[in-house]
Amino acid sequence: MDITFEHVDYTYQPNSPLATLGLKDINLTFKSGSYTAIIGQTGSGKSTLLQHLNALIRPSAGRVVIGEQVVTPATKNKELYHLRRRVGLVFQFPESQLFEETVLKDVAFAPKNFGKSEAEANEIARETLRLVGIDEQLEDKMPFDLSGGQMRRVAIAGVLAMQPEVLVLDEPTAGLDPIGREQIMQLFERIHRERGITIILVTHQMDDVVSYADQAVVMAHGEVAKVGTPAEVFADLNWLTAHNLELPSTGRFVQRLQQKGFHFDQMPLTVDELLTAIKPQLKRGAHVG
Amino acid sequence: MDKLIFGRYYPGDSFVHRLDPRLKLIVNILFIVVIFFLKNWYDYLILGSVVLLGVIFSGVSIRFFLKGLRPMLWLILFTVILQLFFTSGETVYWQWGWLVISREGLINATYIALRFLLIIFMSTLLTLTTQPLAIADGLEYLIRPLKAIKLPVNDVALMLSIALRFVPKLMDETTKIMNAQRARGVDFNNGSLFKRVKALIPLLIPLMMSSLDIATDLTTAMISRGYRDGEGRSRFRILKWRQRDSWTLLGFVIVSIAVMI
Repeated sequence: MDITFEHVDYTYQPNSPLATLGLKDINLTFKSGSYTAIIGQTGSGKSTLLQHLNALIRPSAGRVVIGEQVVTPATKNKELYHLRRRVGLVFQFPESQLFEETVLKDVAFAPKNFGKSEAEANEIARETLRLVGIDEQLEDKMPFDLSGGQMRRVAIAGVLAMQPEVLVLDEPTAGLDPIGREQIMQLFERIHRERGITIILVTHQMDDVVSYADQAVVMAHGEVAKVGTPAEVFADLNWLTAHNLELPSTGRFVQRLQQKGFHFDQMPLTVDELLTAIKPQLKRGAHVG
Repeated sequence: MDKLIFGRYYPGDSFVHRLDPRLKLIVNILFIVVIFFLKNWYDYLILGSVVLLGVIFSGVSIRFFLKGLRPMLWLILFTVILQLFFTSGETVYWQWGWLVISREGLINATYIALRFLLIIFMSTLLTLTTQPLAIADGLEYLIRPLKAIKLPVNDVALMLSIALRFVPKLMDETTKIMNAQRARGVDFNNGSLFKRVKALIPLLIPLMMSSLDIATDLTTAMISRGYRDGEGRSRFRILKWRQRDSWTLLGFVIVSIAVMI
C-alpha cells in the first residue's frame, strides 16, 4: 500500500487569530514495503505529518492518497475507520495507552475493535506477544505491574495485533536503555523483512537511520527540506549541521578526520565503510606525518 | 477545546492587567452580590457602563468577550424563555393555555439575560487579564482569615496552584491518548449512548494512571527539594497592593452603593 502526499498543507486552529501553519506544500511518497526515516528538529512538523498517515488529522489543503483511499479536507470520519486498521500508529511513550485488566486483553483490544471474534483476537494477541518477546506467564498480569520496557513492548504489540500493512513509529525507543533500544529496533527490522510491512519511523537517532532506513526525509519549519537515501541525505555534513541536525556517529568521526587532512570521495555511513575508506589513507598518512 | 475562551489568559500589559489580583477577585465577588440588588433600568445602565469601562481599559478586543459568551448561550436562552413564559402578571399580552407572556415576564426575562451577560463579561475580564497563578495567589490571600476555623489554607492554596499548572498538561495527555486509542479502532463520536460511554474507558483509565504517575513523581521531586509543609515558608511571588488598586476599589464601592440604594 503506497502512501502519497500531494501538495499537503495543514493549519492549526484555522480561521482564528491563533492560526499557525503546521505543514506547507508537502509532496512525498512512501512506497509499499519501504523503510523511511523522518528526521528534523523538534517542532519541524514531524508529528503533524505522522498523524496524516492514518488520517487522524485531515489536510487543510491538498490530498493524501493511502492505498486506494483518497483523504481530502472534505473526507468524512466514517470513511476512515478501515484505514486505521491498515496503518498502525505507535505514538511516543505508547505505554500510556494501556488500560485493560490483563496484558492479553489489552493486546486483543484493537483486533476486537476491528471485528475479530474474542477467540480469534486472543489467538492473534498471543502470537503478537511472542513476536515482541513477552513470556506466556505475563499474559494474565496487570499491564501496570510490568517494567517500563515490558510495557512498551505490550503497547507496541497492541498496535501490531491489528496486523497493519504500514507501521508508523514516533520515536519508539525514547527513554529506553541501550539494550532495550536495540531489541526494539531489531524487532521492527524483523517484521519489516519477514512480513513486508512498510515502516515509517520518526527518530532523533541518526545511527538508526543509517542502519535501517532506505529512505530519509528531513523536515524543517513544516516543509520537506531534503529527501533521498540516507547516503544522499548524510552526504553533506555541513548542511546537516546548519540545519541543527545531529550526525551519525561515523559522521562525527569523519568530520574530525577531515580536519586532520583525510579525504573522502563518498560519505562513509557504517563503521565498515569508514574502515575501507581510511585504510589506504592511513598507509599514505604514515609518511605524510 | 480551542473554542473555550472562558478561563483563558490573554497576555497584555493594560491598566486592568496590572491591577492586583486580590482587587479583581474582590470586585468580582462584590459585583455578583450587587447585581442581585438592581431594581431598575438606570441601575443596569450604570453597572453596564462599569463593565464596559473595564473591557475598554483591558485592551482586549470585545470580540473575545462575545466569543466567551457562545458556550453559555443555550443556558441563557433556556432561562430567559422559562422566565418569559412562566411568569404570571397583571398585564397579559398573549396567552395560550398555560403559556403566558406578561409585562412582568418580559421585564424579568430581560433582567435575567442582562444579569447573565454582565456576570459572564466580568468574570471573563478577570480570567483574560489575570494569570492563573496570580489568581491562585490572590485566592490564597483572601481565604487566609479562614485559618481561624482550622482550614489548612496553605495546603488548599498549594493544591490550587498545582491543579492550575497541570490543566494544560492533562489536556495534552487527553488528546494524545484519544488519538492513540482512535488509531486502535476506538470510535469516540458515533454509536449509542452506552457504546459511547464504554468508549471512554480506554481514555479514562490511562488518564487516571498517568495522573497517579505524575503525582508520585511530583511528590518525590518536591520532597527531595526540601518541601515539608506549607508552614514557615517564604514567598517568591509577592502581591503588591498599590494606590490604583485602592482607588479602583473605592470607585467600585461608591458605584455599588449608588445603585443599591
